[in-house]
Amino acid sequence: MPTLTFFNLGNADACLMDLADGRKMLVDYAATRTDEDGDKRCDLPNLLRDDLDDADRNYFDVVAFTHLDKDHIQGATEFFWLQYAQKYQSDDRVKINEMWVPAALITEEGLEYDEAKILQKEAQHRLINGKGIRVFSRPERLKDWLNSQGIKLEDRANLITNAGRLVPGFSKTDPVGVEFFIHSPHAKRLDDNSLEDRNGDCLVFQVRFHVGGYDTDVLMTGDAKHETWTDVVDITRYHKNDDRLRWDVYKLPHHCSYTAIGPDKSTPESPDKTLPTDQVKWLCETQGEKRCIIVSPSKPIPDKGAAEDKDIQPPHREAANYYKDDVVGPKEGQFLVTMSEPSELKPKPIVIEIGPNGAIKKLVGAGGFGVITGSTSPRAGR
Amino acid sequence: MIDPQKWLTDSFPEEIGAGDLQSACAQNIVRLAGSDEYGAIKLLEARRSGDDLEVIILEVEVSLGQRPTENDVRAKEKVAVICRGYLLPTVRTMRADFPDVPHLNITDLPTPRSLCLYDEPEAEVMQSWTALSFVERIRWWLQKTAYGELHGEAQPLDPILYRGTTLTLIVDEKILEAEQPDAITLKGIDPEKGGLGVLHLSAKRDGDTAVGINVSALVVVTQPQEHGRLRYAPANLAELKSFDAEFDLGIFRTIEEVLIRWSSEKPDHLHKGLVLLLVIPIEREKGKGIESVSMRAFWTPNTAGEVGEALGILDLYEDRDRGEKRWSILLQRGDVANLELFDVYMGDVRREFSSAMAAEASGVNRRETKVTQIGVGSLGAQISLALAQQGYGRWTFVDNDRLFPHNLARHPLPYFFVGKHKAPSLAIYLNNLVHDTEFSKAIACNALAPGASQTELSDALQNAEFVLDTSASIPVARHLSIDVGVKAPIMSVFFNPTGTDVVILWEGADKTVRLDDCEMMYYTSLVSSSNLSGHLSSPGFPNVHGAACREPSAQMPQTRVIRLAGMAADSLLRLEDRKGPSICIWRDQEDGLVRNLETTPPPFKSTKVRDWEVRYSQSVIDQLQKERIDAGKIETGGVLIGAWDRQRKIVYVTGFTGPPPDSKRDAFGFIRGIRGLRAAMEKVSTATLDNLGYVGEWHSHPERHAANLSGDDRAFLREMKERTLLEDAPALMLVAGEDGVRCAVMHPGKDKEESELLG
Repeated sequence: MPTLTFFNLGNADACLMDLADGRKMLVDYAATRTDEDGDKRCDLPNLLRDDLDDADRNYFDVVAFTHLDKDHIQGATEFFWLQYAQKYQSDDRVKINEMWVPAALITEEGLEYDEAKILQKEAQHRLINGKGIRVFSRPERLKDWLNSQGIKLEDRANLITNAGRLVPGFSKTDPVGVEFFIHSPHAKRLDDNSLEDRNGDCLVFQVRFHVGGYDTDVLMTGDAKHETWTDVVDITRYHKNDDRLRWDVYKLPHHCSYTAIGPDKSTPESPDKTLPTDQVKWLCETQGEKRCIIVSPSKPIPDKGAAEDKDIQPPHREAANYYKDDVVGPKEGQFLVTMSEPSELKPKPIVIEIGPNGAIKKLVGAGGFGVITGSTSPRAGR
Repeated sequence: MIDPQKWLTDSFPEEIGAGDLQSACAQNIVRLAGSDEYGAIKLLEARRSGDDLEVIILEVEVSLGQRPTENDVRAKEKVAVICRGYLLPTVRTMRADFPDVPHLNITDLPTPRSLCLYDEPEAEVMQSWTALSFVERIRWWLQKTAYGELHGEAQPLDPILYRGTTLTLIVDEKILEAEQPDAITLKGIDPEKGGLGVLHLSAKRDGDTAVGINVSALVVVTQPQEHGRLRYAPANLAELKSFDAEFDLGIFRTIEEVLIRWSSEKPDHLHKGLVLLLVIPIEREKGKGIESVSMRAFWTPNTAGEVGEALGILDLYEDRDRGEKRWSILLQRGDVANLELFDVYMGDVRREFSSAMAAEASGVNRRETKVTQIGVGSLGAQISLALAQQGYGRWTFVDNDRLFPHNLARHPLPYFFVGKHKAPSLAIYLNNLVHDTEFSKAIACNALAPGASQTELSDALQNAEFVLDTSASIPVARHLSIDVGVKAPIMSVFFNPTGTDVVILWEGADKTVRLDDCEMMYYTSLVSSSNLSGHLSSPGFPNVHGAACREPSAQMPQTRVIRLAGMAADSLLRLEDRKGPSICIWRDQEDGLVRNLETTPPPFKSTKVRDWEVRYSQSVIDQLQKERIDAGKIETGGVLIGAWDRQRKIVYVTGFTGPPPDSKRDAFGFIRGIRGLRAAMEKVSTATLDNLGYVGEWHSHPERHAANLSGDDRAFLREMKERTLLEDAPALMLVAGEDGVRCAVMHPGKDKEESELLG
């Protein structure tokens, strides 16, 4: 059964996807835990290594970096085996068979964070070598950069997937039963019918699992802001691909920041709840299924008036109120915060199993209950 | 609909703190609710009743995905867990509109819906009960119910009405076939217990004189109903009527129709008690086809006429002409009485055991093969009993033996039948077991000398689809296959003399190999297979030729008989459809059953040489030719192995030996030597308990020479004739030549041979 594991890392992202055929995929990596007492964040590198050891392997099939912000890549250059330089190639490092990145991760200039620079070099190295990477973008956007490396675009076109397309190599109908539909980075159609590339866009995609006749859709949103959603929703609906924004599980962008919902955290008319843009309203309120699950990869949602409530950093209480009251509430769904599950006192990674009935949060401590829930076998011969 | 909150405060008036709970089960559940390690339940409140029942109200998280649910179960459900001490707690839903679904407990009082969580007895559940396992069980029940999966696909459907307690009727399926059965005698009242025990209701058993009460029965077959939860049994006519109305079953419509008809056609029925047999076909889902049939009986102490009167359709009047009271139809419908005053007892209805039920219980297909079985000694009767209990066959048993006390060590018939013929006794026994029409019958006669039963036996054999020979008698087997010329394929099953092995000889559904030929190949395999050594060894008392080799020694444990009989019965089922023939031997060893042989005998050919029939397999002829060719320019030869059936003048040639080393061989002749021959032939007769032995001589003529007999050959035949005289058999010689194998026979008292060219 495929599973999603969202790790409790504070305001940071990492999601492990176990596919039905045993393939393992990681979306973002942020080893945020410190050795300080009372740090309730999980030890991501050790949890992942344990998991890989259990599967008797030292690699991920895919590692996607949605963008180069620290809270999505922290510690990655200490954890992964990087192809471009020997100093990142010790035995204890974990290999990446295929790296997924948005085009900006290749082309972005002026990076300040060291780890971002290293990962960029790795991505560039892979693209130059023509293997072990998939870049998400309009191919034209990478043309200049490839030319500067003396490479023709045509020679790398097979490694580039445009928005509005499915990632090759996966199929909903094959035994794996999973497909990835790319929403961003995308190009926006301007009034003069030319296309404007959104260089800053992070990787946003929908994962569709097909298990036992039911399609479970998961939206992996990077740190998409409401402006991104405006474009993505408009473009998707323009192409009549509405079902590609349907979701059973919604990984919140930017740690439950109001910026993913609308321009203002609150307004005088709505002092405790962020008001969504039309597109976000449609995405969240219309496209989510009954009993949907929202995962907020963030610190606990602050109480009103608490010190954290005044922090400009997410999670924003007003944003959470929107998701709770207007999205999961009417749908009898669940709003799960990585640092609050199952309790703020003892948070643990959230495991969501994808089965024939959809996505179901696995209960901590309730694993291995086949014996209990199955009927005892009756004795024959009565 | 009951208000759960009101039920809660009425039944459990005292609100208590979680710390005040006395029940160990309740305490454990509360502890679990407080655990940081487990977030699936939340404790809402705790209460206590006047009689020390405790209840805890929980909000339970149900693991639901996004797939639309079949039943309205929510992601969070409020339930009441009722506890007392360390007894298994019961669970009620606290939502008034919780759906009416399968696997709710029946409740006699108006209470919130009660979850039926376990199908094991409480003692077994409590053996391994923990708060966690219990809560997980509740969550599992709710989740499966949400998706309509709680009732497993393979699980049989529940009846609509919960089992009654006052009586159990056993009903012949045939009663349901009749449009409306006549008055029926309910039998088997248990006089010791003074009440209604297990009764027997059958349309066919009017002659029985068992204690009983005379009742009139009517059958109502309703429209199919969708599988749902169980309901409590109606206790009086009024409740039965509401049940009828709830499901629109048409029970009372039928009652009225039948009572009115009885008043004119069968007025006596109205003076008897009334039994209503309710037959409700049940579908898993509406319109998806009937999967089971729920049958319930309702019995009222009132007479059928009194019920009619209560319903306002009948009236009792004095028929002065006949001097009796009669029930008549009211032209204008009268008042309906208070139906609550008319008690109704619901009874469980069990079906009679039938071949269909036997097959279902065995998990096999029912087969109605018409079997005529010759010989129902311990082995034969064990085989037919086992097969009958699996719903197999329509049996005719033939046997002239009677059951004696010593038979009881291995025969399935009980002491009751001692002194009676085995065949009809077994038929009675099986007909009492399997209640099909004409499941088995019997002819008590000797299959070889049927006497007055000749026609009956002949019909039974010719109409059979399968003849099972368990007579343990070679003459019977030969008689069936050769003299009677049975059209159906024959299977012989018998034990070896020491009773360690069971042998199955099968002609094949297409009868390609006759039973006597199978028998010969069986003997042949005993000579060639080292695995089968000792198969026909003597059990330690003098043995004679013939039937004795198929009868076990006097000492053989029943445990072994049923093992081997079981294997034989299985082989029968397996081989029945097999077109080709088979020889199969199972041996019972200390470390288990071993199949020592399963071989396909070759078809035999037959050539008539005057009044003798020579039967042989083509492979013997082919091998003789091969010997001839291998010998090249010189002649070769040896002796023929086989058997005589002097009665029918048949000689079976099953094999041959090569030339003994002291034989004299050249291009012009062959003089068979003797060295080693006696030992070789002794081996054959020992392995086959004298069933195979010397039957003649063979030799070859060299290349480019025909198989015509020479003067020397004739002289040898004449000499042989003098020796075979002692065997009551003619001299037999096979000569292999360029043109084929010639078979020559010289009869005692004659000087000239007869010969035919074989294939």
